Amino acid sequence: MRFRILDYLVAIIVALGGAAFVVLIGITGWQVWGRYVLNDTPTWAERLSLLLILIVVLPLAAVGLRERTHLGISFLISLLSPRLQWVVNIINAIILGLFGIAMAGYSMQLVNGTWNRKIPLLGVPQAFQYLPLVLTGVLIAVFMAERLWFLLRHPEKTTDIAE
Amino acid sequence: MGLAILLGCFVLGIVIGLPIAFALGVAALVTAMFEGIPELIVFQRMIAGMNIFSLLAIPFFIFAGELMMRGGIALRLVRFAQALVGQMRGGLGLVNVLSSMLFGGISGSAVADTSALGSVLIPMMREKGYDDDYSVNVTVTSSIAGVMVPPSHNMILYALAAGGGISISSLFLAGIVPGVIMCLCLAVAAWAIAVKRGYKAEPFPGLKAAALAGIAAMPGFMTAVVIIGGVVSGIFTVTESAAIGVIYALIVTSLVYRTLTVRDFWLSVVQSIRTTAMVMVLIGTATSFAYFLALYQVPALILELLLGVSDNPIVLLLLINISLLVLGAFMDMGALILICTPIFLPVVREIGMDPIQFGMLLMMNLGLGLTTPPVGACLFVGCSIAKVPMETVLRTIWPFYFAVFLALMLTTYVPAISLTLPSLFN
Repeated sequence: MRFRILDYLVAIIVALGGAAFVVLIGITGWQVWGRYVLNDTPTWAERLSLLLILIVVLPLAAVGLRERTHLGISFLISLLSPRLQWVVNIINAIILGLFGIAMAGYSMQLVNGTWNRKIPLLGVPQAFQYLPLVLTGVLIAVFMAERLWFLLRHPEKTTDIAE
Repeated sequence: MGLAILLGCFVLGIVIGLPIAFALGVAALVTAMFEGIPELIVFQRMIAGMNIFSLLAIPFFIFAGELMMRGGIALRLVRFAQALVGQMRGGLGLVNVLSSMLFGGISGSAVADTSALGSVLIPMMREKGYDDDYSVNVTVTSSIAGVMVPPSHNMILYALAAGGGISISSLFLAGIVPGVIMCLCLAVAAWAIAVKRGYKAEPFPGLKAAALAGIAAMPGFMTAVVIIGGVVSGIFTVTESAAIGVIYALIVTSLVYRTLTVRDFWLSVVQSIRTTAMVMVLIGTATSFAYFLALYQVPALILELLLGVSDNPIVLLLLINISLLVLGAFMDMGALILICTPIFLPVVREIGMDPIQFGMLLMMNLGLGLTTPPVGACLFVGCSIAKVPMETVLRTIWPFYFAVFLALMLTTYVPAISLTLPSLFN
């Protein structure tokens, strides 16, 4: 049981990430074409690719937490009683939520500190590198709040996804 | 005290089930707070770790693997391998090993290898009367070829973790012979067990059918040639080669084989970015974690500790192998490459081992970890495809583990196995 609105948010993040990834492939292809065929390397391509990959992967990392697709060791928890599993999952959600808040807060400081510095060859603020991290931190906090809400409303469940 | 907090938080995080990537990040953040180091350094290091151009090859390799799986390249490679070795006793076991070598050489990922080939070969082997435990054992252990045979994105991670100075093309070349030796050892194990269990040989399809299977597989197989050729020849960077490999795989699957639909393409994109997100965030948080390991001079401490135990290179290498095997059984390969490389590389350099050879040793050890419980991604994937309990598989997997271990010992103690090809090409 999840918040429907967050399902839509995840769908939008995946769609935008997919589109950005296709653009990323196109940019790198164009870079190769420019360098070896046109003999005119598009110097912006490398920097833009690096920026795009952050935009693609960081919010999806938060989505991965919601969908529990990140690698971890779950067999130790599975040895516990259902009640203790529920408690550990609540502790996990709190730790991850706090980490998300810290990520958003400290990354915002990085954004503020680098707003007036430009990324070479692109001319956009260096802060753009850290903005996806701010968004990811917020998403992690929201997704973990959703998990907590679910677990607290359903003390009989050990996790927030179908088992 | 700071080091104890760093390691303690990490281990505690893992034990309570935090994802490894986030356990690393949380441990780094708590340590920064304890030490009074500005906390934003943790996130600044994260971005710095991900902001490296050669890392862009990783999503491209993952995407190429997805395209091959959904676009029919994997299936054609299996048919080609079947035409080559299917007529031997226990032929499908050998087909499995050979397919892993061919497919691993393209996708560069053990998990992709298990998932792509397992979904084709495990049902096929079941239909032909092979036991499920045997099918899963062969599929899972031979998938280690995915990290050994180039291109392997784990080798890019290793080059990165080694702090530069190790050529990715040399690593790609170095992986070929150990990968082939490991597959030969596995083929012998697969054959011996097949004979013992009385599995039958497949009928030879005839020279014409074999040649046709080879011709059909060739355009797909050329993806590996395009990627590896581009990197090894020095014409393209690894990222450029990977992007060209993706574009080539797109052309082959959509225009030559005509098996890739728009839906398959989009599913490949989505799966690739989801996998990439896991890998890249792990790289980011492991970079923050490694920053603190360096701050506490952990590599120097480990060097001192190991040299205190013995200064005999044979003993030290055995100790390192055992440590990596144990760690590999509990943790993800990518995280371990990023954490263990800066720790163990100075030790092996001290005893005169070439960093390229150490890279191969690391790949094989941690690749084996992907097939061992409790945290073996390939083992999980193989068991879930065959729908068999892990205990059933583990009861009979030991000859296959022994085969990989034999290849590992050869790679560890015979430098020429890893270093001959790179030295020939350089």
